[in-house]
Amino acid sequence: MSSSTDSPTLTTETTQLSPQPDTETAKPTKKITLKSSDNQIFEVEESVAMEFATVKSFFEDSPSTDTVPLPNVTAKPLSQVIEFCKEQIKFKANPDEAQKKKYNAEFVTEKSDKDLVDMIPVANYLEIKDLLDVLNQAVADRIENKSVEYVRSFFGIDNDFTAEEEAALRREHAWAYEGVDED
Amino acid sequence: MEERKWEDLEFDCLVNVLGRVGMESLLLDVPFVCKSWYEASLNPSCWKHLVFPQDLHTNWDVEDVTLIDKFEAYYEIRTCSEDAFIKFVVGRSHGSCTDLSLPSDCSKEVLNYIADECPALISLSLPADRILSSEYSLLILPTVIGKWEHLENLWLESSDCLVYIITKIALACSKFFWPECIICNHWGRTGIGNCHLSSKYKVPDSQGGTDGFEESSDNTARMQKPCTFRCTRLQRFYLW
Repeated sequence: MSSSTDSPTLTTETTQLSPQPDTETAKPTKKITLKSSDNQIFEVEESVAMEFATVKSFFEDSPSTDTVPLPNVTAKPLSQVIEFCKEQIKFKANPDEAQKKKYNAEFVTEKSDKDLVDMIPVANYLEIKDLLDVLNQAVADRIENKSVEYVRSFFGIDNDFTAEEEAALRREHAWAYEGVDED
Repeated sequence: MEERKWEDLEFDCLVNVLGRVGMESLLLDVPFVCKSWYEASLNPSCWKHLVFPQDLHTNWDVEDVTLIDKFEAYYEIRTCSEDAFIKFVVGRSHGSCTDLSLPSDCSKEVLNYIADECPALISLSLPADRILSSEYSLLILPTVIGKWEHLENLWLESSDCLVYIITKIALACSKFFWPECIICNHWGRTGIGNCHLSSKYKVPDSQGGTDGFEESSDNTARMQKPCTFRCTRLQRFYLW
């Protein structure tokens, strides 16, 4: 599975394993600048940015930069993803599974279909596993047992099957099935 | 830079979503959305968690259209037996199925098939044999359970020969009684009053609390023979 496509890290292991901020709150928190594909600037705390595996490895590769360009990510889903990660940081400092579950559930229920659909590629690209889990489940719940047409419009997908291809597909399924049902 | 489109979404991510939409959508709708979704729907990872509806085919209520009815209509298949349907769906997982919930009235043949084709199974849920059933197919459970090396959770609905089955499973799975077996029952303890288990096994009640299980004088069968099978991970056993 290629879910963890970390680029090779050049920095030493030790930086990677050092504990995250709450132990050193005395230090002024470092801000990191993220730039979306539509050129919007987001200033986030380092701890939040480090929730994004992609950003984290970017920094491990080139620690001196302070602006991370995100060419695949537009501003709106990015701002929502940041909002989610900020909350997760709080739960990391103060673990409360019930509250976290509640927050995660509310986070997705109040989002429109389009918001969810737009956030998934972002969470996937930034490699935020927890968020991706929450989003994938929410989207799956919304399309379960819905018609093909509904699903297409939900995701904004064009049907690229011709009528013949679709008919062939049905036959193929039937054949695959009949292969099982020999006796 | 253009916004990335769903059609181009990374394959693994799409498969992850499709693995959560449920069996009916996965069978009947997902393949026809577009070509990349069709490709993704063939990926075994989409078929890891399989929850069959309780009533697959035969239904007292004629008004109700069952999943097999829809499957037949959709793919223009003349008749489709429950066994064949289960095998077809399970076959799609190509051995990667980890969670499986089977419908009522599973045949021995299906259980045997699953024992052979689902080596990665972690959770298995089995309903009772129907009252009118001609065979007690669950009776083969003790002989096939050893094939699921990774099995951790087992749900069983009461059956006429449940005590016998549990005793046999205890012999088949070395860890079944150890470190701590959890026995759950949706209706509290009522359904398992005669299961002959000793007090160290806890029975969570419907509120999730635990309650000591009554000592029985007849629990000698359980440890007489160490297991000869490989199912060493089974730790949770639920009755429902």
